[in-house]
Amino acid sequence: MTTDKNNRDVEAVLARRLVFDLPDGTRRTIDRRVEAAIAVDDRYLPRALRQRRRFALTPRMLVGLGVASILLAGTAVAGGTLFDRLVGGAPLLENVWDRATDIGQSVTDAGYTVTLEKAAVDPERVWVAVSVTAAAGTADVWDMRVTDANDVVLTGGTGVGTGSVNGTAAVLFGFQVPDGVTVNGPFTLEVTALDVAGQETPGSWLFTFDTPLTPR
Amino acid sequence: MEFTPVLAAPLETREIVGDDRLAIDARRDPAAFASLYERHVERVFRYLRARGAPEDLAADLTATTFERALVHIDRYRPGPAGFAPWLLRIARNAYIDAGRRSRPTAHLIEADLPAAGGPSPEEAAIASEERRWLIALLARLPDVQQEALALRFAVGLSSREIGEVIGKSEEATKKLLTRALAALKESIRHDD
Repeated sequence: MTTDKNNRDVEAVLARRLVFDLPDGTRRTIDRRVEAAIAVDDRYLPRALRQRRRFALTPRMLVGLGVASILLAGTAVAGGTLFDRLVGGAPLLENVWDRATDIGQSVTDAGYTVTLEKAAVDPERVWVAVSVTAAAGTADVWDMRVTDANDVVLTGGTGVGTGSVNGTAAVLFGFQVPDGVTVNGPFTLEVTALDVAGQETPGSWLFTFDTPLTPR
Repeated sequence: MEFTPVLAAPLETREIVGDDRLAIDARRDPAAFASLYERHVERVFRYLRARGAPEDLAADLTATTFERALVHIDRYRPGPAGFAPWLLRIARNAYIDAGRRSRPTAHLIEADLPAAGGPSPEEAAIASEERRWLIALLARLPDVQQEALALRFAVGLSSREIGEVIGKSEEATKKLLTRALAALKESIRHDD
């Protein structure tokens, strides 16, 4: 490691103080982002799903892909809402959650209620916090997209989800804004299909919202 | 927050063969990419912290680094340069991109909170103060010198690997490191 004998004292200081710990909560935040990225990568999806599934966030999909799932299993806390459990202890997600605007719009179609709980916009992503409640059985998000005021359509990104817990699933998803593009509100979120018992179930859950641009 | 001895060994002598195999497998196998992630996540985070990113930004950029690496894993070509420099080039670009969008602060001035079970509050305070002082001195160096020192001391790269990240030859990198250390030493002397 030594570069020059005369600099050993300086090197010792650097070696002692330029090494940073990665705290557990921060590591979990990064884990979730990377897990989600792996889960949505087309190359890793089963052939039958490659063409139609935009993202897969459920623990079922993660397990199916052979990727270690740490979602709720690793981060559950006693009590709190699903979103509390989703973002709790993960600083980056808590940051998104804290700067998100309350929306609270619900749309019901075919017995499934989708609620846009919160939204946040930063230069890189449009974040939506969405919950899905099934009148019977379980449901999760299958496909959704965001369109901005200038018809910029966002379909991909990264996020985390709980899977269905007691009939409700929660997803926090950050739609990636393309390089060089600035998105503007108002935005439209269209949930076009739900995952019901592993099957794509089309429907229409449409939301219009606006929220100020916030720094990350 | 003591220096971790394992970092003293250059990466190229430890894991490079395995990394290359995993990188090839990761083109089709998510478990292989997950293994690469496990191996390198701390290094990428440490590099970004040593470059001056606060903890939350370093976490965000670490995730971004692996997201980009996943997208471009097909472009990685196994060879003597190794996977770690390739990955850290992505991290470097992510850091530069973040700086273009909004430079958070000139450089890291924040203190680290002592971890549970770690050093005593007094020891932690001394360590934190020494780190603040060191970071402030590093911030006075040219950017490429800061970069080289971060890659050497926070990540543990060899001169050749550092050269791969910053686009210089091994010899030029050695000289750069020597100059950076001398400049830092001089800065410390003046500061005392």
